Amino acid sequence: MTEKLLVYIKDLDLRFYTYEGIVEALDKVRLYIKDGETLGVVGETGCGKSMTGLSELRLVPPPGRIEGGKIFLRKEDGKWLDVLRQKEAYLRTVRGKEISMIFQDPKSALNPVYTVRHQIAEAILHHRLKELCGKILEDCRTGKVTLSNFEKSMLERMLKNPKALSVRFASKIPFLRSFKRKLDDEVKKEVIRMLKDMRIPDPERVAEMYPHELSGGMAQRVVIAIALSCNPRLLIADEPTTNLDVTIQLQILTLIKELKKKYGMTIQYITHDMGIIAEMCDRVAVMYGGNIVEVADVIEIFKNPLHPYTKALLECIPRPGCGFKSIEGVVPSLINPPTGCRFNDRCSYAMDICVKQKPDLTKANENHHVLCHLYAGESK
Amino acid sequence: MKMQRERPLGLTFLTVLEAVISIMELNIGILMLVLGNPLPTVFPSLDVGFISTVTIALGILDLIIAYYLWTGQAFGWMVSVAFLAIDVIARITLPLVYGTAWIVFAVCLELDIIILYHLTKPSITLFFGGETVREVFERFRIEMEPRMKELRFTMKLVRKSPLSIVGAAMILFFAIIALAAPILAPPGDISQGGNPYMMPKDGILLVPKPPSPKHPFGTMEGQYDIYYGCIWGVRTAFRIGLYVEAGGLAIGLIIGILAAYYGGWIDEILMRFTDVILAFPGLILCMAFVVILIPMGMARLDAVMLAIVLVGWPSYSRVIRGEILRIKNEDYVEAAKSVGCSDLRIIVNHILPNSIYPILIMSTLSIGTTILFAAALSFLGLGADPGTADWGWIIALSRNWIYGSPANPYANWYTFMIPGVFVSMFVLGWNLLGDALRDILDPTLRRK
Amino acid sequence: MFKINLLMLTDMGLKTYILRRFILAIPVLLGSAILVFAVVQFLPMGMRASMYVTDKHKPGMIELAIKEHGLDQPVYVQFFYWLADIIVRQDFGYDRNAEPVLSAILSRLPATFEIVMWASPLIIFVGLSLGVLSGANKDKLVDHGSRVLAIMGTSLPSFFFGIVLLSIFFAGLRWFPPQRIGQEASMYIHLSTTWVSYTKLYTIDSLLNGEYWIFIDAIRHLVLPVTVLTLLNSALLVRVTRSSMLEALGKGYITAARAKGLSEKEVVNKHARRNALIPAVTISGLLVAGLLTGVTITETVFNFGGIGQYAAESARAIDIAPVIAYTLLSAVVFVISNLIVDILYAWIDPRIRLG
Repeated sequence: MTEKLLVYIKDLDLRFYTYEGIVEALDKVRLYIKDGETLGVVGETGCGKSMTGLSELRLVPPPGRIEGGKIFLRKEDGKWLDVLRQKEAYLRTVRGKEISMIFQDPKSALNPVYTVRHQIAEAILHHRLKELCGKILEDCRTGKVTLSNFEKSMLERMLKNPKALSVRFASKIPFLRSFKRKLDDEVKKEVIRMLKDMRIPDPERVAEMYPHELSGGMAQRVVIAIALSCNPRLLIADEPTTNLDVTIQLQILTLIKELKKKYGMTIQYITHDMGIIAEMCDRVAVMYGGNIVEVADVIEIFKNPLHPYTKALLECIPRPGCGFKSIEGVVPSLINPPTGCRFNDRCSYAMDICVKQKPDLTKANENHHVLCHLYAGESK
Repeated sequence: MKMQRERPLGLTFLTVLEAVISIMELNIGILMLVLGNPLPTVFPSLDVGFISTVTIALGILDLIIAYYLWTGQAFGWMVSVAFLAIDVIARITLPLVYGTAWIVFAVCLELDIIILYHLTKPSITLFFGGETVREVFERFRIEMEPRMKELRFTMKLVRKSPLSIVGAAMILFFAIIALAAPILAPPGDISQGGNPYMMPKDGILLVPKPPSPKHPFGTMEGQYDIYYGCIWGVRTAFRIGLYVEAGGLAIGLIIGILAAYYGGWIDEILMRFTDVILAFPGLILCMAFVVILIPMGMARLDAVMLAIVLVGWPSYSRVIRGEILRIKNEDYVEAAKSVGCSDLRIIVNHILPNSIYPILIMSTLSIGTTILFAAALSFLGLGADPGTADWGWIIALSRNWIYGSPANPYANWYTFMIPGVFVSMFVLGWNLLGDALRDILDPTLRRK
Repeated sequence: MFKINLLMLTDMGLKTYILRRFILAIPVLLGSAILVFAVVQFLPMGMRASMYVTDKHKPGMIELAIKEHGLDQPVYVQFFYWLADIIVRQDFGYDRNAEPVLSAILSRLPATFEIVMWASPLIIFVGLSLGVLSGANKDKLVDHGSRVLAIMGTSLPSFFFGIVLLSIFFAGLRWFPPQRIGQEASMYIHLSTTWVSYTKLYTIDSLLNGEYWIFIDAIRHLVLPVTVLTLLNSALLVRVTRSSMLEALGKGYITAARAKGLSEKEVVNKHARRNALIPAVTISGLLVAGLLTGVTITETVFNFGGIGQYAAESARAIDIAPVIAYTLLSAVVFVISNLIVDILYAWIDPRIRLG
């Protein structure tokens, strides 16, 4: 592997401890994401694709617990970071700054009592405070902006330690908080800039709106704006267009592609729609029942699907002239998952060994890995 | 696999029998209420009002069970089994206490049939229907499977929340005291005249006396026995609570359902009316009603109960109307309509089971407030007649003595502490039960 | 609701919402007046007339009252006489001591107001903060503790609690006496020439007059009634705030906020809390009702001398005029406070203004 990797997930185990039993949501998931690519993670509802994304941020809700495995993130300086072993305080600097996530329902991802500007500003102020302070001070030095001595000293103090008592104190007093206002103005400029990048018309007006006044597509753009406001290196997009109209879907997808080019991000795109995969992704990982069953480049996946599930998925895409096809059977309950391969009861190629033993991820071709006994025995 | 259920002859027979018995009980109960009890009793302390109420209640329960036998469904299987349980318990315990002959008769006759049907439903179907034993058992098991699962889940939730068990235990405890009142505090030897609810006086001294073997809880001003007052006070509390609850529920539900069913200007008018009543703080409007009702000649306790009913019913109306309107707009009702369900079926299968839970929870919680209201009114002097076994009145009378004597300021603690603890525990039990019921039954809170 | 309004006013600002609420409150007030009037009508004419006379045994007084207040007229005419009496002439009748009801109430109003003034902020503060804490720390010690407190608050009868407190803290410890003010202070207030009654509220006036010992005395007398009111009324608030906090914490924007990198504390305080407090605001209206009710009993127990006690004693003596006046007053206060709560709600939650 000559290209640089950004994320490496190794043997991730995720379990949910519920009343009905222990749900084995993720089972030894192994995945890597290359720097600069768009990786698609595709699968049915409940296969664990969203949970994989949440695990990367260590935001799995209780009663879920990550039981094993490692998630490595490569930092700017090239060193690897084990996300699961970090302190919470450090992880909070990663969330939103190194890795950002956007969600399926834009309206519910926005807090209804705060304006758009407030919510974008929150992300900016949390991660880029020092940068903005520096910028204001720099502007002052170059003469673009005038600051009183008090404001200057406050901003310098904020630069060194945002949580300093003097800063927090001064920002509450009416006469002393003018430095805060300069900061807010700077943030507001950033917010408007982000909204413009999202191709939102009339960004000044939209910034003062409340989430319930926005349409679905607009709301999703705002969510994307929040996610990208701190220039993350990885964007995890969890079915961002599923809840939107088809016409808006296309707009958002185009926007995401454009932003990727502009910001140079890596994207992990989670979806159940093969069409979106074809449109957006460089590489694809297919998930079923908590396992990654196949990983390959996007063209390879469509041309030469190897795993029976992938093959069946592709056959299910409606084509004019052919009838509707579906995959027989239902997704197994993950509370007592079937032994061996989890797809074995629906697989038309199932062999004896498929029921007894779980297959390993084998390399079938260059950059093409499959989790299936059909291809076991070939070179790893 | 859906087979047309042939109505076995035996089922029809059972339904008719059940309906007849229920009508009989309703009639006897109403007659008792109006004319007094004509039948011989074991205890002279018979409370006609109590018995007649229970008889009428059992009659209504039987009507519901008859409906269940007829259609195979009424408010869901769980609730009808609960009704059965209440029915059985009442029929077993009441005769032991009151000994009225015909109830025993009804117990023997009915108990057998009901238990036979519900617990060995397969055997009845077998006897009257003509399927093989295995088929019947299999069908029964499959039908009950999801409900058994839900029941097991409910039981688990009940076990997980110890407060619900505590609440239920407290209520049970008080219920036993209420039922056993004539045994625990016999009214015969020291009662004045015919009404066992009047507290006995042992002398005429005004100063309260501390607990002694003769008066376990002490006596209050005027030498009323506090022990007697507290024990029979439990009965008074249950009477007030259940009567007022029933009355408020009945009026509230009827008006609420009418408003939701007809909609339009009937709905508007009824809701404005409830709004107006709800525009007053409860206790104050109660006071106003009582102050008007008493000069009109009503007995004091009855005035209080009527006043609380009048103040309390609007809350039920609002809730049931809101629930019905909400459910009417849910997708599953529209789906049911689109496959051709009749209105009655929709009401019984969908609307009633889903709207019942908030009402159930509300009514348990409001028994608590009712008792507090009644006690407060008694305390203010508006409640029961002086001398009646009523906790509020006992505490009211203790007001003059709470400072004790200069030597021992806590000397008269028993005059207010003991009845006060009784009130608090009683209300606490209902509140715990209501809270727990809400956590357990509310579908949105069930699955955390 | 009036559907016409919804159609016509599609773009509603806060002002239009306020106006709409205002207009809707009027029929409710009118309806309450009608209800009270209707209830009084059940009494025979003679009894109703005796409400307006100072000495009902004096011959001719009753007949005079009947003529003056139109009690022999048909019902709907009587209603207007009654309304006119109240609104124009401020005549609520006379109580059993031949004092005009209105002046009796007004003279006792400061006492009640003082209790309410001190209790309300406490109730709101305790209720909201305990509720938020409880919801944010579900199933931990804080949560269990506050839930126990809340349950106790709704189960204890206020008069019982008051009596127990009196027994312990007055009879036993002599810390907090009943009634409104001590004898010495009372004499000073009423007889001294240097005392100026700015507000008739002892706590404020004593500070304004510089007599700090009176302030302390007044506070000592206030402690127990305010404690009783606070415990009993904040219980409901704690419960509601807790459950709305739990609901808010389950929403999507909480996960999104965490994904932004905010700390748990920030998530709770900045995002969950504001949304959770919104429903809590709505039941503050109910709390006012609870206060009015609670004041009636608490004042009686502590012999505080406010309008609640006045009404309770009148009720006990079956003196109708004061009770009716008190009922009407409570309704007006309740309706107005609900109106204020509705407006507050719309101000806090921008979604409501659209109707």
